[in-house]
Amino acid sequence: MTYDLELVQLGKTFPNGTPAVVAFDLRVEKGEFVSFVGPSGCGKTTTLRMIAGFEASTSGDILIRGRNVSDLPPERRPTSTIFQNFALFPHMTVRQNIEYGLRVRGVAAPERKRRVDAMIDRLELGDVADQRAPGLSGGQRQRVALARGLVVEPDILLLDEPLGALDANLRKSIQHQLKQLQRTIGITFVFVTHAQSEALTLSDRVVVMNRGRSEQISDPYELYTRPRSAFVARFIGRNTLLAGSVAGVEDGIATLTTAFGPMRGATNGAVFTSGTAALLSIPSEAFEITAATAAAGPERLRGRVLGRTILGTAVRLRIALPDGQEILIETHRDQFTGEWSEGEVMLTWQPPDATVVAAD
Amino acid sequence: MSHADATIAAGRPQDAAVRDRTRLARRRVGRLLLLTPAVVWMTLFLLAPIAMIVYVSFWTQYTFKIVPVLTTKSWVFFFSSETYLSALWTTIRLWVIVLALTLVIGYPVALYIGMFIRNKTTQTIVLVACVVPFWTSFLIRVVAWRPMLGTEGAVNLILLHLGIIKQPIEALLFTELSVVIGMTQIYVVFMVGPIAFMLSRIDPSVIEAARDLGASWWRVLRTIILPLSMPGVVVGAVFVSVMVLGEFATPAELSGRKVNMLGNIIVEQVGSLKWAFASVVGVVLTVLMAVIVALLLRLADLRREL
Ligand SMILES: Nc1ncnc2c1ncn2[C@@H]1O[C@H](COP(=O)(O)OP(=O)(O)O)[C@@H](O)[C@H]1O
Ligand SMILES: [Mg+2]
Repeated sequence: MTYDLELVQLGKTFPNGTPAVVAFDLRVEKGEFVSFVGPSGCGKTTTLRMIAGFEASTSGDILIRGRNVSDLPPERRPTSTIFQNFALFPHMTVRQNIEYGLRVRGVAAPERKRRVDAMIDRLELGDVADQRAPGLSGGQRQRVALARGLVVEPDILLLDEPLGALDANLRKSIQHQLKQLQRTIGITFVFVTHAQSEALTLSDRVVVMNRGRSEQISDPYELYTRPRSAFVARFIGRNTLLAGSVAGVEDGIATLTTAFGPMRGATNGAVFTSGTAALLSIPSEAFEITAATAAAGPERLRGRVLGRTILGTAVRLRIALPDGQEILIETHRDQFTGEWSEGEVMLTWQPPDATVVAAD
Repeated sequence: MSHADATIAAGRPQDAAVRDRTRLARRRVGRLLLLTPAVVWMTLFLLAPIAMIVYVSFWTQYTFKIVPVLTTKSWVFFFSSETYLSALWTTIRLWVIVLALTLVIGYPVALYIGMFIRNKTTQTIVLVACVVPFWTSFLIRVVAWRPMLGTEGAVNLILLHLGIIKQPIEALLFTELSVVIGMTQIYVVFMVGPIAFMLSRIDPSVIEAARDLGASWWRVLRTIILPLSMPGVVVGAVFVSVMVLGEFATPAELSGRKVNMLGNIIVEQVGSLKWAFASVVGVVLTVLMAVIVALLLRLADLRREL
């Protein structure tokens, strides 16, 4: 089977010696929405620019629909890029911007007009079609950039933090529209963001990047519930991390010796030998809060409630663990009783809901 | 309902409204005061002299003096004299040639400085280096061309030594060609500067976007870079045009007084105290410049682009 996009041991070291991307492997199926997420400087933009052809790779290959495009210049690759600042042509109207790629390809005038009109309709740009780019609002620019990139019918659309320049309210509604658009036209999207919520909301699969490497490639649910490295456990979701060493593994559940006694969590297939340093990652949703009467033991942590915020039907508690770590836990209002509202509480969880990852 | 009624109806005393209005008016006058020095300066040293020149061009010219008796004789003389019409033609011809050459030579240089030197400091250093020749006097720069272009000048000697020519090229000095070479060299930086400035302001991702959509380098140059640099071209062209049209030193020094532009005529007429006639040429030159500058400015909407 051929993939829409295939990265094989892709690498980039800048002339100044910065290894921006290291041994990146990825296979993207047609119509998939894939996100690259990671902290600033982890190599997301560089990877995207290599796929578009703006940066030359220093090792590995890029294949689009089975064809090796590593040595092609950007104008000969079947990709369209949505730039972070949208990069509209300032001296052209919206219509001319959208038309540009078709003109370059020598598409005849009647067909050009038909396709541009269809794009203007689809992205609701009719009102501003004859305005020049500099006068448009952020949301309009973003739609023009999308229209301009999509009208040439690329195999892959590459988006570099396209929502970063928009304000928070607009971002939410545009996220939804973007997903909708991708579903209806069915082409592959590769989306770069530093915001995990954006990646988790939009994507079929998420690539978590750290220091030029891909740490984990999973669908959002798996990524959220089963982090495979300490970095992912810290970066994605809201996890409480407890350090310890592996005491033993039984039926996919590892027991860690921690400062709070033995604690258990799922290995999710990872192999640990006894004595290795590891972290137990407990998602904030996995915690159950009870009164502090029971004794501490496996899957039990004593905590002290520092404060609470009422969020409609939920209550958010700020809780200090014995080691000083502060965590936020949301619980349903019904389960929230005055009994443990201000003092000591006991936190429990089911071992399969927590994950053991190697310490970094 | 009058305006005054309206203010009363709105429950506001009438004199308060009047006071507001005078305060507004006073503030507006205050702002206009900022322009006073410029207006006084321009009136004294630009508008008044121009008006004077136009006026003097209609005075009656005697051999060594002029008298304020109005006549169109000088004007008629200008437009019926072959010498002076040919000076007008020479001026226009040299302007077109030098403008074209500074553009053709200057644009690629500006492209290099503005687009390929991405480091702002290096960019500034290179642009300053372009102006280094201006640290010597104008006359020295012009006269320095003589040992370069003469029959035994550097250019001819080098070409002879290389065996490219057998006889020295005589056309290099004291011809219109030498004037063109000299003026192009002197004025090309005024073209490079504004264009390089505009080019350095082009967002690199706009160029990447064009390539991403399939445009070749040539196409990017034609459809993105060239239009976005137009304001720089216009400003450069205005600089070069104004300076070339008013030239007199370069043609005098490099053509051995064979090539006469309107500027040379003015110098000559003033030298022989023909004030009325010099004024006619001055008015013609001023009108020519105004028309050319106005045409150039129509090429780009500078207010929007800058
Ligand atoms: N042109 C360049 N020259 C040298 N280093 C660069 C260049 N561009 C990016 N880098 C470095 O490469 C790394 C990855 O950058 P980038 O891909 O922009 O990260 P991200 O998009 O994830 O924030 C960073 O350390 C950055 O400093
Ligand atoms: Mg980036």
